[in-house]
Amino acid sequence: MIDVSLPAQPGRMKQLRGLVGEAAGQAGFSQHERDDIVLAVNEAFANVIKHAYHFDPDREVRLVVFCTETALMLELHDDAECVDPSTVKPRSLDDISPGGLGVYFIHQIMDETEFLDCEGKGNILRMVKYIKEKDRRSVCTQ
Amino acid sequence: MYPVEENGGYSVVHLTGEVDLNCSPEARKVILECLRRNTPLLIDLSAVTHIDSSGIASLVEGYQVSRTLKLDFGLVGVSERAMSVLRLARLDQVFPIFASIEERLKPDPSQDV
Repeated sequence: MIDVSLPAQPGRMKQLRGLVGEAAGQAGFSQHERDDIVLAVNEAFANVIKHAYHFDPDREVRLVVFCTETALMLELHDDAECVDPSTVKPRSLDDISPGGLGVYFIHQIMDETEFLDCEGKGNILRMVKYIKEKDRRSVCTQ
Repeated sequence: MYPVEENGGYSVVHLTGEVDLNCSPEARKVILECLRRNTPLLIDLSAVTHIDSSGIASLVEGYQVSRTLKLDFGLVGVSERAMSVLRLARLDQVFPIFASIEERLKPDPSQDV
């Protein structure tokens, strides 16, 4: 459905949200679910900008979105140093402090989240959201 | 960028639109500047259409600074989307939240003699 590269800049997050929201709508998600999926991908994009690229505006993030009959798959590809997935953990909500909520949001919203094996060539974060049977549309089965 | 008004002894910061990594540094700056003036603070979220963890972090930091300074703090008119994100973070149980500025400013009957 989508395969686009975006500059890793905070000013491009609005464009990312628009693309993801449109794809989630086409896949059959409700407005509330769509807003949540947009938030999750927004957080993942922000994490690449901050932690992988350290706000280097000349780097790029590739957004890949595709649909199966049962799920919307969203991937963010970067070419930063490989992340150790064991270090990317949501913080406890008992810890009321600024920051650190992004990973928690991603895990709360998405049904599956995993770093694919990148073989030393950057990172691929895949996020999966299942589509309820009643909401499935033919656009995802073609 | 974000308007601030004085109302009933409070500084009222109006956050609007999409409060993301691009805009949250400005939100944080405005919130902390208000607290530096040593006035109690209300943050109006009625016109927020999107807020992410960086925007939420600005609110949390403001709340923590206000507690350190012993200044009253509250969120008012929280939009449906902003409330959804606050609930997701379970911060709706942490922040003082009021339906409107007027509701926060109305006299507390329990204080009547």
